[in-house]
This record gives sequence, C-alpha cells and structure tokens, in this order.
Amino acid sequence: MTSTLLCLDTSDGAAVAVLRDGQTLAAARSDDPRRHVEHLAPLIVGCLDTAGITAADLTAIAVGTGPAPFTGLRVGLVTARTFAQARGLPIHGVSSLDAIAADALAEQDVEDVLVVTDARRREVYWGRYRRDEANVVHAVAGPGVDTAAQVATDHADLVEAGQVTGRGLALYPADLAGGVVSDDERAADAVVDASRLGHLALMRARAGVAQPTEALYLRRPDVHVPGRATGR
Amino acid sequence: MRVQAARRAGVGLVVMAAAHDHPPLVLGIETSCDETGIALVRGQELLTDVTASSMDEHSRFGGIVPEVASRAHLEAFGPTLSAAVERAGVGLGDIDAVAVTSGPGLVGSLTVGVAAAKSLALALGVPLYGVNHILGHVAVDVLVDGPFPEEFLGLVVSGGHSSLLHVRDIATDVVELGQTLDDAAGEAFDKVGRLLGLPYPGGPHVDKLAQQGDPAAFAFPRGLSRPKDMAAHAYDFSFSGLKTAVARVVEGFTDRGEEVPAADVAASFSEAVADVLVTKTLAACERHDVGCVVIGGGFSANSRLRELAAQRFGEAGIDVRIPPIRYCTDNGAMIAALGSAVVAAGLPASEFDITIDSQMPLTRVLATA
Ligand SMILES: [Zn+2]
Repeated sequence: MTSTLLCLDTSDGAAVAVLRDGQTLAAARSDDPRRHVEHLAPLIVGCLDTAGITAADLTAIAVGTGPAPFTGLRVGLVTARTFAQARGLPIHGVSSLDAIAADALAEQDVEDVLVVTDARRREVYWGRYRRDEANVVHAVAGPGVDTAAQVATDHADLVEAGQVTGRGLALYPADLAGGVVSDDERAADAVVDASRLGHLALMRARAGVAQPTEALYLRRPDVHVPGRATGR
Repeated sequence: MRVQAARRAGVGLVVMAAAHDHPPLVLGIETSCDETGIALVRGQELLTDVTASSMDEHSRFGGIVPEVASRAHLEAFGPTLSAAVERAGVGLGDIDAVAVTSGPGLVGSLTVGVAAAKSLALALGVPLYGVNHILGHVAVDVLVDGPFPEEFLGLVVSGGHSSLLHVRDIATDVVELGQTLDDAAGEAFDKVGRLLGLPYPGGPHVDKLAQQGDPAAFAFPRGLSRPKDMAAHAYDFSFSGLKTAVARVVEGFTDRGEEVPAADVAASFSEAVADVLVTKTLAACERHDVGCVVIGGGFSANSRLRELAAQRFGEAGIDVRIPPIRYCTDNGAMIAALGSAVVAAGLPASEFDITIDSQMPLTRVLATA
C-alpha cells in the first residue's frame, strides 16, 4: 500500500514536505522564525497542490516536537495533531534536533555532531549525536537548554573539531565556532529539512518505536501576569 | 424558542438549505484567554458546547499566566474537539464551516486556536472564518433568546473589555458607541478584590461580599459622567478613578487601625460600576431610539448589574436579554454563533494566511492577513 506522509516542523522557520513511499513529492519552507501561524497552512496547501494530492490522500503525519521557542512550536504541533485527528491518521513526533543531526551526519565522514539551535534569551537548545555502524543516528546527550559558553565547555571535543551544526553556530561563533562564522551553508540554515524529519519518522515507525508528540519545552513557563487581562 | 429559532434560520439560509436540506453546521473555536471552548451550531441552534479551562492553574498566581494558558490549550484542544463532536452526535466530516476567534486576546492562546482551526478547515476541505471575539459575546444570545430584533444595543463587559455597540446585523452592521478608556469592568473588580484581600479572580468574590453590604455606604465616583465628560465621552467608560477612590477608602481605614468594612466597600463599589454601565446604556437607547439591549461578557454574571439592568430597563420599557452565565464567560458557542451569522450573511471565507490580532478592533468582524 502506498504511504503518503505530510511532514511539518516549526522549530525555527516553518518547513513542510510530502513524501510518497519515501520519495519527496513536494517541499516548501519559510525562513521567518516568528510568523508560523500565518505561513504554515499556506505552505501545506502549496505542497499538497505541488504533489497533486488532497488531504484525503495522506496516510500519516510527522511533526517536529522541538525543542524550540514555544509559540511557534505549538503551531506545528496543534496543526499536525488536529490534521491527524480530522482525517483519522497516525501521527509521529520527532525531535527537531534529531532531524538536524541526521541531516548533518548524512553527508559527512564524521560520526559525531553537536546540534545547537536558537533558544532565545541568550541560550541555545543542544543535543549531542552519534551515527552507529548501522548508519542510524542516536542522541548521546541532551536535549538541553543552556548558554553557548556552557555547551562549548561541556562538549569541547566537538567544538574544537568543528563538528557543530545549527543556527547556534552563527549566533554564538565566539563560543561554538572558535570565533569563526561558519560558511557552511547547511549549518547556517536554521530551517529543519522536513523530508529528513519524515524519513526518520518512517524508519522509527517501521522499527516499532513509539513517537509521541509531546512538546519539548525544556523550560518552565515564566510566571508573568500581564497588567491587563484579555478575553473572558 | 428552539423551534422559532430554527424556522427563522431556515428562512435566512434558503440557498444553503437547497444544498443541504438544513442550515450549515458550523464549528466554533475559542482560545483567546484561558478557556478552550469548542461548540457546534446549526443555523441558530446550539448542538453542543464543550469548555476546558486552565483557571485552576492560574488562580494561585493571582492572574492569567499566558504561557501556562497556551500550553493548556495545546493539550486540551484535541480532547475538547472529540468531546464536542461526540456529544453533538455528528462526525467531523459533517462540519460545513470552521469559525475561530482571531482576536482580541492573548497572542499565545489565540495562536493555538487559529492554527488548529486552519488545520481542521484544510483537513476537512471546508471554509474558515476568523472572527472577532467581542462580537461573539453578543452573537451567542441568539442561541438562547432567539432571533435578534431589527436593531439593538450590545453591552459587552468582562475582564478584558467594556464596550457599547449599536447593532443592526451582528455580521455586517455594528457601530461602536463607546468603550472603556482604561480598565475593563471585570478588571476593576479583580483589582478591588485584591485591595480587599479576596482570592483571584476577584469578580465573583466581590459580588458575593457586596450582597451583604450597604450600596449607599460610600459615595464612589461614576467615571465620565459629569456634563463636560458627557460631551466627548457620552458612552465611554472609565473605572480607574473608581478603583483609586476605593483604594483611598481602604487605606484610610487601615491607616487609622480600623477594620475595613469590606462588605460595604464592595457593595458601594459594585453599585457605582453597575450604575454607570446601566445609566450610559439607557441614555444610548434613548438617543438612538432602540428598544432592546443584549448584555454579554463574563462580567454580566455580576448580580448587581443584572438586578439594576432588569429594574431600570424594565421601567423604561426596554427589553433586556442576558444569556445564562455559562454563555457569558468565554465559550465556543459564541464563536460558532457568530460564525453561523457570518455564513448566513454570505461573507467571504478567510484565507489560510490570516493572522491573529491581539488588539482586533470592533470595526472588523473577520480577520485579515
Ligand atoms: Zn471574552
């Protein structure tokens, strides 16, 4: 039976892809890290059009679960969960850092990589990954949230070897890139590759791995009560 | 009432009726603050209304914590949707349109509802309508009290808004006559609750205490009611001066080492708020020759406002419509009702790139990109 997977991620910009039996039929993205609620649905519409399918043709949904700034992350999660619910489809949650690591290690000779993304508030989300003999990428440590300086100290081996990827590299070059802004385009590209995320989801689904869609917030909510309540 | 409402809806929706045999089924989604509300309305008939609230999580902080509310919306959305559809005895595939609060409200909370609504409309292949929350507080009354008269005034009072509207058609013809220039009525109650050492949210606690006090014990000011204010702000409200006056009285007692007569303070304060709301609305009725007032919003649960409205509008021969309390606080039914009115009026559906608008003005019933 044909599998047609809708893949979404809103951990930085917004990324959408449609995979049929593992082949990318369509992919689209927005680099804007703040306007997810405006951009995501039109990107999905565009991808379904490009793929020449309708919502009724989809057989599963994959979604990035972060870690990521909260408001944008929730746009992807609620979109994916609601779509799956409306069409009665299975849904697979994949850490956005896992997708970035799999992407980085797919085209390099090294086995280890440190992923650092923008956590705002002068911190990064991070995860340390290794590719095993079977070519499967595993998290070795993390996900976590910390200052770039702290992450650089804790993973000095990878920082010194230049095996770091993600937007954090461009944001904190002094800490994470030995003071050099990376000219590696992929490292500077913060938007998750939605197709890659979809491939991970399919592989894990085949292996029988549970893939919940809980949001990876990694931080408690700030208890800040606005002076003026709205709604009600 | 239900039969009458259904018949009226049938007349207004001839075109839809031909295609469907009955008015369209509209799903309404409300997530502007701490309540996740989802409801189903067919024409002017409410099929079901389900609400999940995160208020218990906020009360210990003394106010709504936006991030806590947003997280709760994400987790509550799916179960609330399932419950609504199940209780209505319909399938998701039966839904003809999706309406959602686009604003005003808290950014993080609105974002969850609007993203979910877009996804649902997209997955089901039905039109999406991003609508104005405040107008929903008026629109909901049609589900309870039946079709609206040709024109009426809408008084929307809550923790976030205090607005007086002249309504000829809730979907297409609403004029804002006035609004609060500072605090909302419900917000003033929360602040006075805090001054009197009552738990959050203050509104219901102050109301309860006020029922044991003397409303004439203190002469608290009626904001924007002097002749010179009436020239420029006839139908606007101001509650911050009132709140300051209450604070001064409370401080006076505390400074003198005397016990604060909390019930009398609460009663006199409640009287001042209810009096100014009813007096200004009555004046607007006379000025515009309107014989019906619809009161909505969470603050319309206030017992003194209800009493005074019944009494003074009754004396003036003006019809007052106030839905039961559960439809005054935020809920999905208000959004489904407004969505249904928008569909019936034949307004164009929203595009999928619409944004949320935390300050959405009353001049706008539908959201824009
Ligand atoms: Zn409200």
